Amino acid sequence: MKKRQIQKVIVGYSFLAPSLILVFTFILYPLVWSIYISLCDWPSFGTPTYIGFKNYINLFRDSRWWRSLVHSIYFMLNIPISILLAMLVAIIMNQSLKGIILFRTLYYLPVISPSIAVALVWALIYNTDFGILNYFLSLLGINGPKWLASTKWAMPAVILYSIWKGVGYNMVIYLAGLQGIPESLYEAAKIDGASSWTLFRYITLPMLSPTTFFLIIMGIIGGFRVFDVIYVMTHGGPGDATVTPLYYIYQQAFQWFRMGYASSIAWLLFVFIFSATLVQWYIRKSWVFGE
Amino acid sequence: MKRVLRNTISLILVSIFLSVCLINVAYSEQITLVYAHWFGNVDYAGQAKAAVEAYMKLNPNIKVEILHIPWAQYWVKIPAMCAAKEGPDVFNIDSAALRDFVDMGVLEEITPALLKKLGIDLSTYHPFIWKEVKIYGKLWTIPYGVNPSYLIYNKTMFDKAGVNYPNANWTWNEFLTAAKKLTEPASGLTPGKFGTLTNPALVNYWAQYIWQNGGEILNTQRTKCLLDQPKAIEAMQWIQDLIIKHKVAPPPDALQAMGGLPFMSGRIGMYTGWTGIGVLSYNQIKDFEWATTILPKHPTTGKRTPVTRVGGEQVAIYKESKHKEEAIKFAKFLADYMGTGGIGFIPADTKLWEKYFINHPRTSKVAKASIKMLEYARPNPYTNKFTELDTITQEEVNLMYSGEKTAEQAMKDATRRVDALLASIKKK
Repeated sequence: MKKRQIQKVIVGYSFLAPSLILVFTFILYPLVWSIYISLCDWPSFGTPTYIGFKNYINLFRDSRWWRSLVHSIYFMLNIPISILLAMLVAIIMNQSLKGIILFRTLYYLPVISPSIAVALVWALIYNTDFGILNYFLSLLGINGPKWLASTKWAMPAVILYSIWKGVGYNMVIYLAGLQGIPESLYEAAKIDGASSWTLFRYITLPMLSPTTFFLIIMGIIGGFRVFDVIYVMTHGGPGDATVTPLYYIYQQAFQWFRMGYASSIAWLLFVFIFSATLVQWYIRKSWVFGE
Repeated sequence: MKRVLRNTISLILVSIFLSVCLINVAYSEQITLVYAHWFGNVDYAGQAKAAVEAYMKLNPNIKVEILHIPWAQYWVKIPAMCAAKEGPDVFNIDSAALRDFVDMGVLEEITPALLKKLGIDLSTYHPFIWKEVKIYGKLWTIPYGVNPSYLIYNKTMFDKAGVNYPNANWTWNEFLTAAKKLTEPASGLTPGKFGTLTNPALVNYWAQYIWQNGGEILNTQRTKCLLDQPKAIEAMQWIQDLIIKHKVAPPPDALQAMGGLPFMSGRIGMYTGWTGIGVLSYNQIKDFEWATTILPKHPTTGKRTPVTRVGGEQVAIYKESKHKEEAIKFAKFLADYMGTGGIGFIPADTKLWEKYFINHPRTSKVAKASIKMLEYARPNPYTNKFTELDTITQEEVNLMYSGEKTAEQAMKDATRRVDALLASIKKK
């Protein structure tokens, strides 16, 4: 019997071996290496010089790092706006109306559009010289801001773009959630004379809470990791007004050849993301239905 | 019969064996060099490819493989390859990164003894070249080109506005007067036209204004930033006024929207910044006429100092290359060939100027102004970690260009940050 079990284990691990090798080579080994590098002064060539926790000490004194973290949290303002809009759009799209598939497609199109290309187009929309956004604002008698050239308005401009880009994805997730709510709940409530608002407040919203929880977690993780839109639209500017942690890691590692310091930023960022996710996980029981 | 068969088989086997040996010998005599560059321009990359093909024809035992790495990835990939002991034998390098690469210890020093041994003569090269490319008094690259800034202007815009073309007597004052006359503000969705444009990069644009005004970027030892000095602030204020006060230059985001070569948009009257091999693209312009002249001089100091760069027009030899001498010989051949291409820069070798720059159809329009400006050239204040210094100054200058900081504020903040960076380099 024991021999058979051992054989089964060997066969099992043999099938797992290719995946395990890939996981070890491309995930575990680089993870361990990056921990070591974060304790070194290493310009990405030559032998790393071990310096202990100096990178982390310098990081705690690095005002640019703390500012990048604040910018990330600022960027996360797009989460509640995006979620509310997506929920509203999903509720509307959850109707059996003619042409509804076309509308669902239109809302999802920004999600599948290439990020770099649409970010470039939005940069033109925001242009203070000939951008259509300020042109339409001028028709309303409003003198549009300098958008991407303004430290005050650059991040709101990025947030607006991100909402437009992300609403479609959230809408699809919510649609799936809505279609998972048993119709019998609504029927029973209607029999008891519930209004539309009551149906929404006491049935739709709680039943969608697991979906909302998922979107908030993913939104927070995405907020800490925002990079492509910053790289294309603002390059972290004006000044460092839109430098986010990931963009700062890119600058340190690939522009300024401080791979060791960049690794320490990456690990500290991981601690923040993990902590934020952990907090969300523990408070979910207070508001997520079914937990 | 059996004996005949046996002998025949033996003969065939021996023939195969000898052939394999000969093939191995032939391959072992063949040398393979890897040459890396980032060239995106078709003419430029084409000239490099033609150089490689010509070299291989002249040297049948040498195979040169071209490794093209786009600019954005180049400065990550080349150090990574060198760190993995797999660096390309020959690779283009930019002046801004040269000092760091020398300190990395991945470049082979090109000594006078080595040049003599290989019969390479660099004595006819323009003397400015050595001020830019020699690090610690030593040569690490074979340069092949140099470019100063000059004034390029849109003749069609000048004609439409009824403004006289720029000339050698112009100062900053005449430049500004003309820029004002050439500027047309935006109307609705119709973009405006600007008399000139700026650039946030030190070695591309504004260093020349500070120098012309009598200021400095760094001290002589390159250990202290001097941007917070009055002459530097005064020069930067003049530039900021172009955008904010006089509105003759586009603000940063409008500039970004114009792409890599804004002058080609046809909406810019004049540009005084460094354009490098931009002339290759300017030759494609069909919508308007353009011409070049020397930079306007400072109204008080009379200085006309341009920003001048060898930039990426140089090739380095990998220290761990298994064929260093062959690599250097190829690098010199490449340099000479690139110099004959009319691909936008002044050839480093003055022997090539007449035929391949002054009278070349691709560069004849910029040749006179370029060569004249080379007389006023001074080397750039490259340091270690120059890309970080450049980022710092660009951030502050962009805030100045958008009006969020005064010139004085921006320069003082830039000085503080650059001094901290220079101090961190010193400590090493």
